[in-house]
Amino acid sequence: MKPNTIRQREQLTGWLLALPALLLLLLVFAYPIGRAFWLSLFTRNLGTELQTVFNGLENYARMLGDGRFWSSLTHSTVFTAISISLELAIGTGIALTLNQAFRGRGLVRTVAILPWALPTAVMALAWAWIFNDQYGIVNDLLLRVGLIDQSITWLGDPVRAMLALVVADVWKTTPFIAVILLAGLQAIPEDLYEAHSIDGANPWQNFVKITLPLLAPQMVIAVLFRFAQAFGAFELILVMTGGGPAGATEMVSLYIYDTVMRYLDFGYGAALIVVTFLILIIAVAIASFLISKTRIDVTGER
Amino acid sequence: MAVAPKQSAEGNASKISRKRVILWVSIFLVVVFCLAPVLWQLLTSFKINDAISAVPNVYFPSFDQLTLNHYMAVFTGHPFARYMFNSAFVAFCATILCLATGAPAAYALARLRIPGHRIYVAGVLIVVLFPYVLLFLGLFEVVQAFGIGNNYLALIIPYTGRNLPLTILVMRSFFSQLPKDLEDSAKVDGYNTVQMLIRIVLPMTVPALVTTGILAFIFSWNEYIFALTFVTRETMKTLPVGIAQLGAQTVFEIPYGPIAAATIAGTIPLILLVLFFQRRIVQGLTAGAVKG
Amino acid sequence: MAKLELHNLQKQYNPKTIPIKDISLGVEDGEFLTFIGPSGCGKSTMLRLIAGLEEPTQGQVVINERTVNNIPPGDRNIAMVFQSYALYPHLTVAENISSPLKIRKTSKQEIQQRIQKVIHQLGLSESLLERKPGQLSGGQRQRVALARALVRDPEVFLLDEPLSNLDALLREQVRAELKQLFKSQNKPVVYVTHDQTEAMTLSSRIALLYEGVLQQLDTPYQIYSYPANSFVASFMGSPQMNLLTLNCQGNHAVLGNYEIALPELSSVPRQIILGIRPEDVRLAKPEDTQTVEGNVYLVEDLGKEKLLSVQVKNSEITIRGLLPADQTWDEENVTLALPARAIHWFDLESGDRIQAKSSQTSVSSERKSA
Repeated sequence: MKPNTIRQREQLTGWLLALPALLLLLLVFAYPIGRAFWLSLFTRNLGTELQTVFNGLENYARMLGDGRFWSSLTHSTVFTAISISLELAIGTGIALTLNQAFRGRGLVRTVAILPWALPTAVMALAWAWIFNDQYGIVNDLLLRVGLIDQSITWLGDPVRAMLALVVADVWKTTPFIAVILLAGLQAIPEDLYEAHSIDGANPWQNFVKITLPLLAPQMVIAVLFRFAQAFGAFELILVMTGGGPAGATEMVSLYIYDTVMRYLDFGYGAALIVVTFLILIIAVAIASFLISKTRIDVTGER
Repeated sequence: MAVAPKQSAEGNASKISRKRVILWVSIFLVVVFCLAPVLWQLLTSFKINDAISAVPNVYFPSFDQLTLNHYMAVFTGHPFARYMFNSAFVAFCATILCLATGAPAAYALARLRIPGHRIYVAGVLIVVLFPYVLLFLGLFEVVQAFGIGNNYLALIIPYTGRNLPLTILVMRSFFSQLPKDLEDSAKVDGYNTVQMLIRIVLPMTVPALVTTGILAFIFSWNEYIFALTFVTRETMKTLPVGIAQLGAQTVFEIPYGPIAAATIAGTIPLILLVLFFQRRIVQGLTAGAVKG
Repeated sequence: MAKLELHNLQKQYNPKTIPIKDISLGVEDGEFLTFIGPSGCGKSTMLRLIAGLEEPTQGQVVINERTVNNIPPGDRNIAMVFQSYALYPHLTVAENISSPLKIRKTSKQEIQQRIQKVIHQLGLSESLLERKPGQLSGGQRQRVALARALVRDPEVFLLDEPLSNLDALLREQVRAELKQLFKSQNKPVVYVTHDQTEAMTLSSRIALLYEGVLQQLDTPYQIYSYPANSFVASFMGSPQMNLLTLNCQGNHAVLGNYEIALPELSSVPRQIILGIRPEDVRLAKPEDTQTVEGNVYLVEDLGKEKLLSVQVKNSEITIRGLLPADQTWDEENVTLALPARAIHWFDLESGDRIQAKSSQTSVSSERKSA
């Protein structure tokens, strides 16, 4: 149909403008996800000499009994949960600090987003060096303070390796949360605090009664972004521990990558991708529900 | 009568100064938290090997414990300059492509009320969250199918696509904040939609383009998993992959000094970007996450 | 020669939001038509429909006998001045003024000539040409916006509240200049405002809109003297016209203890609206026949005049009257004259003006055909 009205012509132009981006998005997002769904119904590995053989839901059945998958899922969950909780706490602290007026605030803000901007893979090396068994600064500091008597192994110990990963991840991504929360803080009108203080509230009551509820939407958004990133965390783990020791820090993302790129088990790798994708989508659905809830609450209170 | 107010004033003063102390302590903690790992790496990169492997650690090396050798080793023993060029080239191309395709799309979504724009935006909002690990398998096949492995395109196209959602969200929020009268006026003046976008709308949103461009550049520069998977030839590798593989040579003793030197050298461009564009980065992150 | 016509124009966003309901009118060369009405009456939508920034749901916009419904704004050969001026902030004044010419690939020489001519016309100094809009005062910006419209030599001018962002003093001065300026252009001008002084002083005709319906289209004098319905009567004129709902008895309307003679009507309704402007109310002289007595409960001093609020004896009804500042009266009670010639009658149900048969000859209102 030939566009006749001004509106139709404008919409046609609009679609032409939006098309290149759409094609790229389809190529980079829709195709790989769709392909993973499709491929997850097939076996394609060294056993089939990389031929694609239909197997129905066999990959998913295999997943149920795959201990390595379940333990990687557990590791991912533990890592994600602990990291995000710490990041939220520290991020709120940083945001509250950066929201104060002080000399040199611009410079401190610059410093505060630096970790976010640096390449994860490269900084993972730095963190591996910090947690080095022999020469690491963590051991050195703990020895000096007297918390330990002799150097301990970090990345070679299942629990401590996970702890080291969490520390590195918290360092790397807390700035992101702090930035989002800071924007939320700046949007809270000062007179709310003044009115509340006149009513006799102390700073802690202010924080609990005003700051936290009004910051809730930002927190949910930040947590959602971080959830997706932490669940897909890859290079930090690959570079720092390689999933070790003995698979103690292997997470879903690493397992997927190894399945595909090391064991060349494409069909099963695709099934793992599909499951991770579904977990993410569910998380997004829950989060958007929470966001709509918190938004209503905030406006309802006023 | 005169005593009581004075006392309370003193009480106030000490309360205020206590608040200041808490504030400055937290500022100090923030700075240490954020900078310590980088500073430690910086210090390591300048220490001679004996000082690096000294127990207890050397925090204040003497003059003869300092060296530039690790930097020399990085730049002479490895194609480090090449990595850097690769990263810069790929990130730059991806950023430009991303802006060139993302900004018009964002404009169409913000203003032209095209049919289906809700679905488009909802899709963008969801995929902005997708981690790379979900995409590498499908893209790996695409790269192989087009035979562009070990080609810059194998990274430029995925990076462009990967950064599009954020670009579209941020630009869309900027576009919808523009006063509509300007575009109406341009229409009456005789501009068609494309002319209006190029001559009126985009020049007014240069700050937003810079903001989103910087974000896209940083993400592309730092990306690891695609760069690791789609490119295997040594001369095509990007900086994160190149540096990470220094640390992976665990068969012999790990070259801590050169790794530290490579870390510092490889992050300097980013540190500069952050120094100059702190405000814009913060603005972009906020617009992308919160407004979306 | 240019003529703008609107035929049965309607704009509907959804069944409940219909900003424009079936409007037809025409504007000729040299005519200055003003759309006025309370906010949300559809007057800005009107202008946007004419410009092509919005498309009508029904009806046609015709410029010079050419239906332009499907022609984009830029090809309609119209110029529009926006309330916010809408100057491009990244372009200099010269680039702003010349932008409609450049996009039409006018030659550089001609652009130069036209800019010179237009800045001369508007008294814009040449030194401003290289500045950015951000460096100009409000008044200068307004002139640049006008210049951008004039430089095109369009067939129709559209102005959307171009004076509302100026301060009061400047506004009066620019208003006078605008009138002269557009007189010399001799093109159809369509102007939108919510300010009745602007509408009265500038227009050759006024179109009063309310809820998307054209209430009256007439000269300022006609609108003021013969409002087509009670809404127009109450909207135009300050202080507002007194509008009193009265019971009818025989040939009279009853106001308290007083009887006001009705015009000759084919049938006398039960109730009727009496309208009289405060400036037509005066203190009664002995020879006045139609008077009411009342209690003065509020006096507002406007400097030049005094505005009295009077409660009519034995009724709840209030009448406001505008008296010369030097006039005096008995503090408590006054007798007001309501001259029959100054009284407007409106139907209670429809609000429409009830035409007294005797005065019909002087009225030529172009009422909408509802």
